Amino acid sequence: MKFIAYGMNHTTAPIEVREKYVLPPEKVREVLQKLKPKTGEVVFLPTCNRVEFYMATDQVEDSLEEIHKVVNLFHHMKPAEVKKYFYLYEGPEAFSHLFRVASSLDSMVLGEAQILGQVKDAYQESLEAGMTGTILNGIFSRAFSAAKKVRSQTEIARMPTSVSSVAVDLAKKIFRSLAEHQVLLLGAGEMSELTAKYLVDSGVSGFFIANRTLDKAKSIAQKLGGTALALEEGLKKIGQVDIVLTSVGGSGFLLTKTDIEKTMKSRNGRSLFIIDIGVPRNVDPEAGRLESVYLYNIDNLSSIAEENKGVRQKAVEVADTLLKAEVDKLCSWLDTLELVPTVVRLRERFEAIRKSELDEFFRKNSGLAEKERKEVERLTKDLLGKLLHDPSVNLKKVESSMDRFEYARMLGEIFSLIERPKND
Amino acid sequence: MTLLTGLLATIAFFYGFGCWYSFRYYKNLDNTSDGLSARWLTAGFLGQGIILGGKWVTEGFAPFNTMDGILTALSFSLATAFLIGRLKSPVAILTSLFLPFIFLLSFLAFITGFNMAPLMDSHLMSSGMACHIFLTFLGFAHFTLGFGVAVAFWIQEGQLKQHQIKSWSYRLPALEILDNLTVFYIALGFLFWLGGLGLGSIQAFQVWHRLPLDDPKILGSFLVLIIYACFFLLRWGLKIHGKKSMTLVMAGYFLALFTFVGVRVFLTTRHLF
Repeated sequence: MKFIAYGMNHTTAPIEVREKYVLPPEKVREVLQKLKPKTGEVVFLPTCNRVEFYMATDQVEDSLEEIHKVVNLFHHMKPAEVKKYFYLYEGPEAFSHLFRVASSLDSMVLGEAQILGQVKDAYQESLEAGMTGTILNGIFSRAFSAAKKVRSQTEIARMPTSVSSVAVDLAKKIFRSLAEHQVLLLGAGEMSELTAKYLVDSGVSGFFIANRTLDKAKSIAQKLGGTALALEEGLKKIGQVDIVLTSVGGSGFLLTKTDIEKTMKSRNGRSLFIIDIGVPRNVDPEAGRLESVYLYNIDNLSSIAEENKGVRQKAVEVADTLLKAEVDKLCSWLDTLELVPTVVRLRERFEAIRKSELDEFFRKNSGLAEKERKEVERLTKDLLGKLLHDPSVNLKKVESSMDRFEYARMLGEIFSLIERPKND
Repeated sequence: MTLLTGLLATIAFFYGFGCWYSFRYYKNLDNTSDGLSARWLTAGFLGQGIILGGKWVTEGFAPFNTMDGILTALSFSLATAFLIGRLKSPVAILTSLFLPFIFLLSFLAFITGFNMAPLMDSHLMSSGMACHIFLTFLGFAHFTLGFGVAVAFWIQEGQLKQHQIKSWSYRLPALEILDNLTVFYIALGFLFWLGGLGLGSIQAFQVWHRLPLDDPKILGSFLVLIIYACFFLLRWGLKIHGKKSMTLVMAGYFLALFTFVGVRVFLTTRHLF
């Protein structure tokens, strides 16, 4: 039995190829149903950046052919054309790949949160389709806990890496809960609208949009669920709100240090977070020196986002070390899963035969003295011990976990140690 | 090892476990570690409460006349203040910052527990004196935590102002939380300190028939109250928040620390500790 990871991702295949494999949930179920009779345990993971099959199978080549045959039914691309985009990992390499994928170390955006959910969904789908067994269930549950460890014990996902999410994160560093604070958007640039959307989605208590063109303000207010105002009215709102986003065109400062200073007097010491996304800048940078005023322009936000990306990159090394330990643990688990129980079962089976034969022998030779009976019993025990010694020791000498798995499986087959389902 | 030193060692172990889990929380930011550190802290706190209460009941006077008793009471006061703060605002990361101090004091209590020579005659330890000492300890503990939170505010505010958000800053809570928590600790500390000072004044009148303001410990204690009164005036009267108000918190704490520890070392005072 071999565990393999077979697939392609954003680094090996162009979007034109990947998109052909993005299937709706019902088609994914269909793929699994079609693979069911021919392959072993399978999990199919189709996302926009990767298409992967994780399998525990005896016949690797046949299973890969079957995958292409089945998937080809949905996208009509010749296997020969697409095979060059696929990679194949086996054994510990495949475990490592799955763990990296689930931990988002293999993602286009390092540390992104969605992938773990997508892997969980793919596994759930296979589980419900009856396509997983002891091996994949064990491997995937370990992949999920390894991913959780990476996310919690490294900096891989701790800090935001987009300008908008940095702005929201900064707001959360200033205010206890955004649900108690209102946002004012001055102007209507693309980036400021996106940042406002992030803030609104984070649950701010109120949202005002003020623009020179009231219709444009109304359209954004309708989209994000806020109140539209004329620009002059919006400027008067600054004393009332706690987060101000500005992106107004034109030269000169829309808000001077004196304006902010006056506003702060009426705010009773409440903090004011200003995000100036306008270029040229809308707010006098000197206003950032005022007590309880936190002023960020687009460069400040971008540089934090870049720095955070660097932190995530550095965290990869730590995460990989952590994952290596998890892969080793998984290999040990697979060893114990197969090797120990097989040897135990083998000894139990031989012992049962010995006892049954000995009982039969004693029944036929009931005249034997107690001392002779004990001698015969000792002889059979010694014989059994010596017969089983070498197979047990040699089995432990096999180095590759997958080979040990295979040997143990063969022993099970030869000595009928595996209970088979009745219809098998 | 006597029963008492054994108990003190157990308490130190409890706080030590709490520290271990709080470090784990700092590293991993996992709620399980935070929950465990809070449980060990509570266990240590309850243990110290039993030791102090038990000794008070069995000996007939408050056990603040020996160094181990004083250190246990101080550690217990810090744990009390910390647990009250957690009820007000459960900021997990603060456990990682404060628990080591509580552990250190309890460990020192265990070390000094081997030499339990009294610092003062037990007959001087009246209930009034015991309450004076304990309230002052509680006040000092709250000021300590208020100071710690104010430092965290100072650091976080500085980073936000300079647009330099370091990775460990993501472990600190929002400025608004730090600000509210500082005010909460200083307000409670102010009340305890005021109560302790009031009871101390009554003791002074009973012994010396006057309030010896020439004693630097008493004078310093009153000055601490004045500084913190200015802090409240600044915030609630003049509506000045942020770094300026935190500066007063820090100034008040340094004076409180000097009054509490420094006076005994550098100046002459009527107080034994």
